[in-house]
Amino acid sequence: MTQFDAEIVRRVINGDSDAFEHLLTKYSDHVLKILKKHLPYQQVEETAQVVFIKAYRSLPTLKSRGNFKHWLSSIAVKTCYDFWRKQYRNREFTMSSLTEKHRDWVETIMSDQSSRLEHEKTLQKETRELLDWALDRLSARDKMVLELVYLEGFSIKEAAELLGWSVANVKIRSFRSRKKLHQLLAELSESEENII
Amino acid sequence: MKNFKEDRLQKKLAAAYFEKENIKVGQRWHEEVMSHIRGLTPGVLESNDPSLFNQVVRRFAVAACFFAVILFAYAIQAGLNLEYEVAEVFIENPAEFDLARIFGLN
Repeated sequence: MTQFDAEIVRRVINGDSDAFEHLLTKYSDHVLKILKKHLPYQQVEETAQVVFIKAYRSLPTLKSRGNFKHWLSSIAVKTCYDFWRKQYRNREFTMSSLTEKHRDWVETIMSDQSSRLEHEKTLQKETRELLDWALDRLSARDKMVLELVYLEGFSIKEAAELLGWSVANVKIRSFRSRKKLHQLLAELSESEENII
Repeated sequence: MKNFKEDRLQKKLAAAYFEKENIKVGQRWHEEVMSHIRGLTPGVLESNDPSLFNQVVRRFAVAACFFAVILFAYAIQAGLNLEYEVAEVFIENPAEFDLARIFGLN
């Protein structure tokens, strides 16, 4: 933890709640970056508030030698996981909004013609929609692990620390969720073939 | 070949995933966080201070001792083999077992 952070944390714990604003200003972009990747856009602001309020309330549990930024990241990731866990319980699948374009994208990427896509910036939107579609079909646990390890490139150990899970659990989840994602995309591609 | 295709897929998906970082979000929520924090009662911070645990123990120590004396007096009066009797009643008729009745509370 930097000296500045340590000093602010000490002041907040001693009752100077206004000092927390320094930490809020310093780390809000970092937290938003995490939340924007893991959550739907309309949930980002509200969840950012939850993250900082949680951090404020738990400040005394931050070990003096701990890294504040890393500790805050972990709170943000766990809050995203809680969000998806609640969503998963009440989830309702809407009719697939995927179009021919999305299926074409999978087809092409799985075939040898991917060079065709290299310069097609317009397909970025379809890729995002396709990714969201696939992630929506995964459980909260699988989704979080897939995003952290497969998409963001965190190591298994780093992801385990962020989520507060065991390394073995993240390792198994990572393998399974990757397999599920490939399966979903392959099924999508196959359904296209069947239509044809 | 399969690995190559999977890598390519991963790269494309990761690129789309990181695009989400560029979405703009306002800063008004900062004020709401600070006003919420200022509205919290003092002492709301979770603590791992062991001295606070000791304070709680001391506060309830008298009540705990008093409760222990009452239980001891009850045990002397009811007989020390109460546990055995309760177990016996339960084994004989688990469906109608009622702890409250055994202690004469019902």
